[in-house]
Amino acid sequence: MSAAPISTTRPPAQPGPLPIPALAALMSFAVPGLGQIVQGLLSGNFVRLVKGCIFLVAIWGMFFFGYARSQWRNVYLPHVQEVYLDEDQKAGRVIKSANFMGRAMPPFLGNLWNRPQYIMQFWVGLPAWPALWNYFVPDSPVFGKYQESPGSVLNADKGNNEIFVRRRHAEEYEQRDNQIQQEAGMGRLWDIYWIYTVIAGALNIMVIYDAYAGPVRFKLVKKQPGKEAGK
Amino acid sequence: MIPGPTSWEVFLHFPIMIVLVNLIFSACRYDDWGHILHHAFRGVIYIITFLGGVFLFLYVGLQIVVPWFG
Repeated sequence: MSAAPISTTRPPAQPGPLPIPALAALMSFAVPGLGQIVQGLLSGNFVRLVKGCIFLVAIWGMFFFGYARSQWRNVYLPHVQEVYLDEDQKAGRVIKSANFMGRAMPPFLGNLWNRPQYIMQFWVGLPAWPALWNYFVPDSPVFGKYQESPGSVLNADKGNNEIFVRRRHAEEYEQRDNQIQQEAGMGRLWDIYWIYTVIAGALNIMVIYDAYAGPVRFKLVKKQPGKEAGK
Repeated sequence: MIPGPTSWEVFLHFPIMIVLVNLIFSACRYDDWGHILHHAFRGVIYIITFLGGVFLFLYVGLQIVVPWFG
């Protein structure tokens, strides 16, 4: 006995309106799949509930796998643009700092340019947001060394020594990363691990959309009997 | 030379990524399991076929064509 093939010509059933779409999208932004889980519970839609659980396990599974295997060191937002800006300013050029059409970017944009992975990691939700806290408020180490920002300085260190302290901190962080990449069993896997975290964030963007607007439905073209296509 | 596992071990992560990405992408497009699983399966086949084709192209190029030209 063989299983009946799934007909892909039959359009999927049109679901009813989703409850709390905006709130669900926010929930899925913070915790992947949470919006779908709540919508499933509210509307009694079992498929949506299970979908939410799959999103949660798959997305956070990928993120934490990649993050943990990198020894918890591949999710961060550095303060390196400030150092490069200082170097360029002293040399009277714009080479090392991230720039657009020859104009140096402001520190935050430049730091994102130097660490583009974080643009996608951010979308994975709560576990990636401490990096922003550590970037903007290094004086309040709420999260300790979790996602610390390389090149960040405490207010007490700001002043004449600021760039020196930033550079030293960022270089120490980079040296440790290089050491880890030289360890047995790491090598190129270092890159695979941050790719896991980036893909997890990118997937959660679709999950947020699904929580807000439901499954992505492309326009179905209905064939009219007796008429050929294009006429 | 970069130390660590051989390049083959790196490729072992690809099936995991391909399956998870397709499963989540399909689940974002449908709300019923038949379509979700069917679409995910088809996506996995497409990507494996594409990557396999690229791999074969490069492998044949590097192992046969390049040595043939010396």
